[in-house]
Amino acid sequence: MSKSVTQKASKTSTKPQRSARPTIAFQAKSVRLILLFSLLTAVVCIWWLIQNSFQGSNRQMIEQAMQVLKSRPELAEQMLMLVDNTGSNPEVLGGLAEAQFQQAKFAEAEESARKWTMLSRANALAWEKLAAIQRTQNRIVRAQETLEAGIVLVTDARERDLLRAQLIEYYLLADDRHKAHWLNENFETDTVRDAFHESMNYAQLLRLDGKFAEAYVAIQGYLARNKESMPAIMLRGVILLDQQHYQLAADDLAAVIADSPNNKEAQYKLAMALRGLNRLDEATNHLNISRQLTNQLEKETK
Amino acid sequence: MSVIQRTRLIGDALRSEDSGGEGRVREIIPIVSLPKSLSVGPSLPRCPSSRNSKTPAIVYLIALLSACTRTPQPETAIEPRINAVPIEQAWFESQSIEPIQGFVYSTGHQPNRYTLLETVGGGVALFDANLDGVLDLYFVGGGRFVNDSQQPIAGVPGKFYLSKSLRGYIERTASARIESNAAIYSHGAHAWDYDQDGFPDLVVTGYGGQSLYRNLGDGTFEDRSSAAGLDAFGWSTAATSGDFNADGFPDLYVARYCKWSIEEEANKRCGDQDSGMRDSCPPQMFAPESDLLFFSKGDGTFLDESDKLRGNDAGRGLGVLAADLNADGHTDIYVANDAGPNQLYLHTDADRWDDEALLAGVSGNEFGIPEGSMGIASADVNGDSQLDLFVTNFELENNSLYLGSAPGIFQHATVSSGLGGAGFQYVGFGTALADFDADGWQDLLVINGNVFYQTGQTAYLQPPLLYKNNRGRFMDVKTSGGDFFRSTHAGRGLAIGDLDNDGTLDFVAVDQEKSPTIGFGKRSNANWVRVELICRWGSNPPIGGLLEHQFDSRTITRWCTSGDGYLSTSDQRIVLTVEKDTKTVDLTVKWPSGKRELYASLPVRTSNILIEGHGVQVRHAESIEDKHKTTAVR
Repeated sequence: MSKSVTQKASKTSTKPQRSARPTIAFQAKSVRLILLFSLLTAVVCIWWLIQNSFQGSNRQMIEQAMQVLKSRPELAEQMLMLVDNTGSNPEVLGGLAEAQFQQAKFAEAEESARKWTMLSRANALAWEKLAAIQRTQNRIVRAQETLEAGIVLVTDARERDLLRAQLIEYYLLADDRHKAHWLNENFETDTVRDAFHESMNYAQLLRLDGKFAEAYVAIQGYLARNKESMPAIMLRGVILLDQQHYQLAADDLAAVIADSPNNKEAQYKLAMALRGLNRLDEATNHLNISRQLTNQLEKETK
Repeated sequence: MSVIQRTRLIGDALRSEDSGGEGRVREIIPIVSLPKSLSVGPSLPRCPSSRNSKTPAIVYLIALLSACTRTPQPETAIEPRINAVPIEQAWFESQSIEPIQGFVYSTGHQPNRYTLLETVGGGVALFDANLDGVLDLYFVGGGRFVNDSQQPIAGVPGKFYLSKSLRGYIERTASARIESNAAIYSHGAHAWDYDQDGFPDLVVTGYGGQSLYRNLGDGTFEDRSSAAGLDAFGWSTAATSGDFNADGFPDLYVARYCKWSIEEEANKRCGDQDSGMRDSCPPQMFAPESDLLFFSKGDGTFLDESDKLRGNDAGRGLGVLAADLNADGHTDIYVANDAGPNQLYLHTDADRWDDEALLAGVSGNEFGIPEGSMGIASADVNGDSQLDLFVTNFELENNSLYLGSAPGIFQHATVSSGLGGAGFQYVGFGTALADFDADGWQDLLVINGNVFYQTGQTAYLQPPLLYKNNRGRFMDVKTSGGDFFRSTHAGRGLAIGDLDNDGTLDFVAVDQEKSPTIGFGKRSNANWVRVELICRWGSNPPIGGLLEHQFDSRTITRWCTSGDGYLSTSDQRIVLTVEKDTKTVDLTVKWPSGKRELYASLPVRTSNILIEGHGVQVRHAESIEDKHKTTAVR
């Protein structure tokens, strides 16, 4: 009996125990889940807050670096390296390229700019910067190839045209009028095309074609808008020399030399103009100055 | 005609001058007559016309796409094809000729050893050694580096190929005893008749000095370097000859490069500092060396008269041309210097030569900046009867065209002649101005190749350039040039001549470590006449002399010059294009003595020797042009 009562009691006592335990377990589990969820939420929030704060700090540092880029490029480089030294931030890479370029660290600058172009293929500025760095190192062929690649990859038509205008200048440096012409005929936007046709480079392109009269008109137009531009006066002098208008050429080239006596190209061209006027002593004098300036530059380069 | 007959005829003609033979024309000696129907090879596929406006666009687009899909390398280059003109037939047919294909110019390059010496390259001389009327060839051998502390540089013998038939050659180096000096790493070959026996002799230049080989006329040569007093040590490159002091004996000018030694360069360890790639050093790292001027004493020996070159600042000479560049009747000298200003030595009354390159406008680029100049070509490019100069330059420098505007005065005209950008991406070496397409205008050929194996801004192997002269403006016709112009090369020496005597000009191009290329001209269907000028006083051919003839309603002027090309000697005979519907042609020759003579009724498609004193003497006003006017009036 007692056994049965006990058994019964135990049975009766176990029933509620059995029904209470899952409830408690369920409640505990829920609490744990809630706690866990809360914890995770808190972690995410904290992470988000930290990240936001870090990014804000990065942004601030990038902005500060950009501000000191021209005046203290070495500091700007250090700041940008602190922000990201993995080469995964296009903005940092662009700043780094400029900072290193300012310090004449051309190899590093080129590497940064190259990474920048890889990350931002559609960014015309990246291609332009890479080309400019190569151009500064007198690697004009590489600079041309860089801009040619940029024109293919940049998606915005106006940006592409700006690269074209830049590339024409590089072609003109090589006197490559054929490629320059091809680009000139393939501008996509009127604004850039019109701007190019009002530029000195257009006058130079016409000169390369041997169209000296048209080149003269173009450079006169440019000078009407930029009266004090010495490079433009120099180009006009060269075009006048091409046309064998020796006296007019000499006047322009003498003006350039008055502004910049160490311009060896102007000294030489003035000598050629004076030679055409049969003023050989004066011509020889300017040739000697030109030669001295060239030799001086060579020594400085060494 | 045998050699003896030919020499005898020249001798008889010269002797008959003394007995007074003015007005006779029997001294005009046709040597070789060819049938009009000359064999030409199979024509190449017609090239696309640039008039199809889509073609350049597509080509350019492909080039742009390829530029963006690859990692930019120095080797990459976009070929300008925009200015290509339609051509019906390839200009040249490259032909493999045994045994010449077995020859290779040895630079001696070894892995991990880079020297300036191996960058200079070698040339070829086209000359008729046995006077059989067909050109023979001599290629300089170059050199190699050996593990010998006493003599680390050894010369490699050149090869002499004697013509046995048209386009057929046999090697005769050993039997001709013309194996070059083993102590000289050879570069240049200059053929000239220094002893005035009628047989052209040979000067071989190189690191270690120069060798003089006298042509004995029996098929053999004799080394006369020491006996002639020409064995000065140094790094000699190009040579040219002419009667500079007008004493009746041919003199010699030798351009020299720089003061260099293999030990000095080994210590410099040049190359790209960033990438660590090694390469040969640039020439600027070595002091330039002054050139040599040797006057012949007339007895087979020479005197060093280099001090007669006033303003002879040492330069790194690679090309040299002898010509009368200021039309004063004296032979002048133009030197193309690497990494420095070019020199123009004009003869003065005091029997000196003053460097007037700067004032003449031929010292450097358009703005007078010195460039890295290599080869020289000369001709009247724009038809104004003034001698013009063309100079090949280093990469990132345009080749320079200087148009003569007055005697001794030149205008830089690369840009205005359509050659802007043409050679900018290449390192130009051998060059020639010649009427390859027989239209009366001098076309342009340039062969290129970088000196840096891996650190140059442009590729080591580079394509040649071919430009058609379209009445003074040049047009790119490289795509129509033939196989040679479709491939890339490490080009150096270049000589031109009519190798197969068919009246079209052929070329021989020497590559580094590769068999030379012989391109036979295929573009001419026109009539022609070939002449060789023999003057009675001074050097032959008569440097400073010129001839004129009428073609296409204008007077064409051709000059006798020496040294055109790069480290090479071109055919000294002059091939003239004449009207298709004529059977004879009249020529006026102005000899260096100042005498003008008319040589009338030369039969077309023949080779002729014109000897001074045996034409009809004419005053300047009675030149060939006036004779034609007179004929027209009648």
